[in-house]
Amino acid sequence: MSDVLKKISEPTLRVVGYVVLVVMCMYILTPLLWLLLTAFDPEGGPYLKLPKSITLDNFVMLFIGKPIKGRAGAAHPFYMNVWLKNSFFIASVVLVIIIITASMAAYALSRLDFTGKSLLMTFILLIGFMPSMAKILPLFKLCLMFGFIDNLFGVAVVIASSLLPTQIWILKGFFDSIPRELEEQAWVCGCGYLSTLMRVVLPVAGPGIAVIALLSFLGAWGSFTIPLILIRSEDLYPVSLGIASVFIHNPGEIGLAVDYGPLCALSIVYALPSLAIYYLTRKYLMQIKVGKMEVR
Amino acid sequence: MSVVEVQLEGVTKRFGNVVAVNDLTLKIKDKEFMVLLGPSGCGKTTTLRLIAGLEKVTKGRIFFKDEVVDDGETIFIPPQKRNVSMVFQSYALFPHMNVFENIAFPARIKKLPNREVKKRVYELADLLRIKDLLNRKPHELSGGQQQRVALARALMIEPSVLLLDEPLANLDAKLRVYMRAELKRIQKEFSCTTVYVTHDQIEAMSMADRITVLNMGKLQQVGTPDELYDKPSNLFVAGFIGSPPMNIIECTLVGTKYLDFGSFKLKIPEDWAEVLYREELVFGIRPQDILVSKSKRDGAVNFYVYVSEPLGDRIILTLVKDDMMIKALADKSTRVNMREEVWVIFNLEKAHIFDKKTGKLII
Amino acid sequence: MSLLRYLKRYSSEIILASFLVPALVLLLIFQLIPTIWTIWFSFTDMALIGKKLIHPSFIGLKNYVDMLNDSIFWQSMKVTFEYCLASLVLRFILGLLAALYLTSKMFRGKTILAAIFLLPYIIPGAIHPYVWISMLDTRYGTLNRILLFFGLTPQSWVYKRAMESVVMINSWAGYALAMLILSSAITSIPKEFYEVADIYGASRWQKFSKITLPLIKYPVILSLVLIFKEDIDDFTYVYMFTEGGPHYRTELLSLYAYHKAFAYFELGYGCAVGVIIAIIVFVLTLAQLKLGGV
Repeated sequence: MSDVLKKISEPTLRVVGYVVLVVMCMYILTPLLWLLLTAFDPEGGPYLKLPKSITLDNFVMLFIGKPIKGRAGAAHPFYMNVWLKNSFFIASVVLVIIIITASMAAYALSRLDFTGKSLLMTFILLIGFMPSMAKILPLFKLCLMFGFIDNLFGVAVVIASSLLPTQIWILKGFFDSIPRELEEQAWVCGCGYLSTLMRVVLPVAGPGIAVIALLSFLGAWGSFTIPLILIRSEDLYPVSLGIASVFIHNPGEIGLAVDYGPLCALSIVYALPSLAIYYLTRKYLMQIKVGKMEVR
Repeated sequence: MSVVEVQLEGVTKRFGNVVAVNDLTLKIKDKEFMVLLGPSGCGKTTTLRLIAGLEKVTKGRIFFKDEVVDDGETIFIPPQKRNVSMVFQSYALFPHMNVFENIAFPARIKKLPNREVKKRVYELADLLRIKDLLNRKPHELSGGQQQRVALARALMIEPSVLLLDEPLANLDAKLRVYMRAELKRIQKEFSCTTVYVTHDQIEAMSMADRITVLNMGKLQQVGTPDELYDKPSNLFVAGFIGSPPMNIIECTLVGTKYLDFGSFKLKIPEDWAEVLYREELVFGIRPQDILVSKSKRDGAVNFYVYVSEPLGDRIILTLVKDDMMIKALADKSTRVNMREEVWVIFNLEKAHIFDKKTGKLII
Repeated sequence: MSLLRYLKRYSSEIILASFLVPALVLLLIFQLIPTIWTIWFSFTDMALIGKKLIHPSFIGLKNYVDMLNDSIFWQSMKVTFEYCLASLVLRFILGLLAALYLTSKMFRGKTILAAIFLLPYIIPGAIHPYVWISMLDTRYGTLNRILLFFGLTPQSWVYKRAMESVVMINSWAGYALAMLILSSAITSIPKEFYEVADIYGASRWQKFSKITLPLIKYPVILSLVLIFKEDIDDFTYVYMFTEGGPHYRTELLSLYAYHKAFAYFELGYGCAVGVIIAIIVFVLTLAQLKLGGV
């Protein structure tokens, strides 16, 4: 391998690199290109083509809740604004819960030294490893007890608990890289533990907070299984369930008898908040340090 | 100013099996500039952190004035409530705050009125010559500037004790000398009890009211710089204080008149013989107290020049005789070549004799 | 009395330890308890309908014994193995490649590249299957049109090549995880290491194999663990595309657990399959972490 690579000169390597890059970008972008084109196409279908004319009807349809004249529309009406509102509610509650609980836990894990700490870390990681499908029924029963069925707040709590392990690990990595002296300085200046966390550690760990904010937002915004189990009434559907209610008739029959225009428009509207959050936090994404994974 | 004296009573600190501080008893007087001096790993920083409350003692007690702040068992006053100030070696400036907010931080925690805070920050900035930097972020400052900001922050509230952990270690040589004097001046101006940790004996000598020498967690000697220099209580202190370090040569007492160095013998003053109770001894003499001349003199011992290091005003000579090697300070006019023969006279009035077995000072 | 004193002396540590409580409470209630409950269910003949839902009886290891003789279980075991292995390799290689592009000095436009690479990860998972419809459609799908363009035979992706399709979607959607972890790790390697290597005239491959790879060993293992966990757990794509068919050829273990529990109403059996998945995950995770010397 090394001999072969040595013989390849720098320019050749560069060319090969670019070719692979282009292929990769095509793999990534072609499906998304279809999404973008079809969203503005009055008569789009499950194939890539340039629209003959451009229309915003697909987007309008999502929000007025009924098909536009002359268009087939979907089997079920859209309640896009309701779904978006629900999704936003869930995502923001998850965000708040995760940032508070994960940062407190990660801070304690980062700064406390006690026997069995690595055991606790492994436990936290593994606890999230139980397949979610296997937990459905107990989870349902539990949520029934807590009154979390048909309760957006309850859904958010459950989602937060499922996202928590990874976020704690990531945040601990960030906290570990903050010099202890900063906190000790704050203590000497009279700061209590909570106020040290708020005034010094969190601001310094800003990138870490941004990363877990992004990851937990993405997780909550896109979550499908947990709302599927816990939400019964249609006016509490988040977008993920909304899509399914409109476009999936039976499992395994995706893509049959669907108006692709609104589907793509919906997908784009659905993806926009995620993209916005990514845009805000993109600077910090490359600084993730999970647990002990910083280079040793 | 609520300045206090700090007292450590039989303080021991263990980290697992490692004893960082071993049975240390020490009294730091009110308004005193106390320097903790020792090689790295001697427990000086741990001692400082114990005083700050960043570590808990394993055994022993620490007093602030009459109040016990840590007794190793039930009482532990956390750092937040000890009213100490600390400057860390890394300065620990908060990277997300500008200089002003960094300095004001302790006052903000104590919720002092904004007007007072502002006034105080400007006073300190003036005093430490960082007035132009108040709006900058720490990463835009040089090492020396960061150090002064950290110091200003430490002086923002009036601390019971000011703790400084090698604050000059990260500065370049020139700035270090400048800040040495500056720090001393500021300490006197604020007249607050100060504990200063360093491994640099020159820093310690030039700044301290008193110095505590530590080694391997054990107290070696406490005293004024002069006491430590003139009367080192044991071999460790003798070797650690002074630059270039004291020459330490093993010897044996022959009868009551001579010290036998193997390749030569030295006649000792008569009053020495009375106190020398042991034959196995260590002879210590500072390079300054060794007279080197090119011509043979009475009572002089011949050595050969091994290396000569000119310092500008003086020359450090490394001299050998058989397997013995000593350092001497010579006048800059002493021009010698390598391997040249020179004649050496030891100024026995300034020499010390230590017990080889215990390392304790005898004379 | 002495306990009280002890508590007082260590009050600051206790305050700090109490910071763990909210997260641990959440994890215990909504993760650990359902897990333990599931394990209990797996020893019962609980069913989704009838009185067995309310009054299941304890049947010991019967579900697990049944599993040994269940050909569909072994079939889905095989399917899961194929799926996980293929996904693991693809997701990891794509992720590593993307990470190298993002960290290499040879290529420009990092910000745009990073945004492109992250797009599939950012877009909500519920959309992924729809997005791929246009690629995989037999008659007009982009993939088949590309094959035709190069003179190759078009495939029936969704039906005959179901497994390949699902792996393709999964890798597309999931490679960014490894990319994020690995590129973060690679950027944190001090430049000096490479400069030293340059001084000694190391080749590009030597620099990668002798410096980069050993230094990112732990992140590599971590990303493998996370990828594996996601793949074995998640059946959204097979669920939406193939429903496990044709002939159980894409019946992943997780989907089988779901089917057993909710389509055949054998809840106890479904839970038992879930427990098996969990055991596989635990064992492999611990093995990987151990192997990595973590």
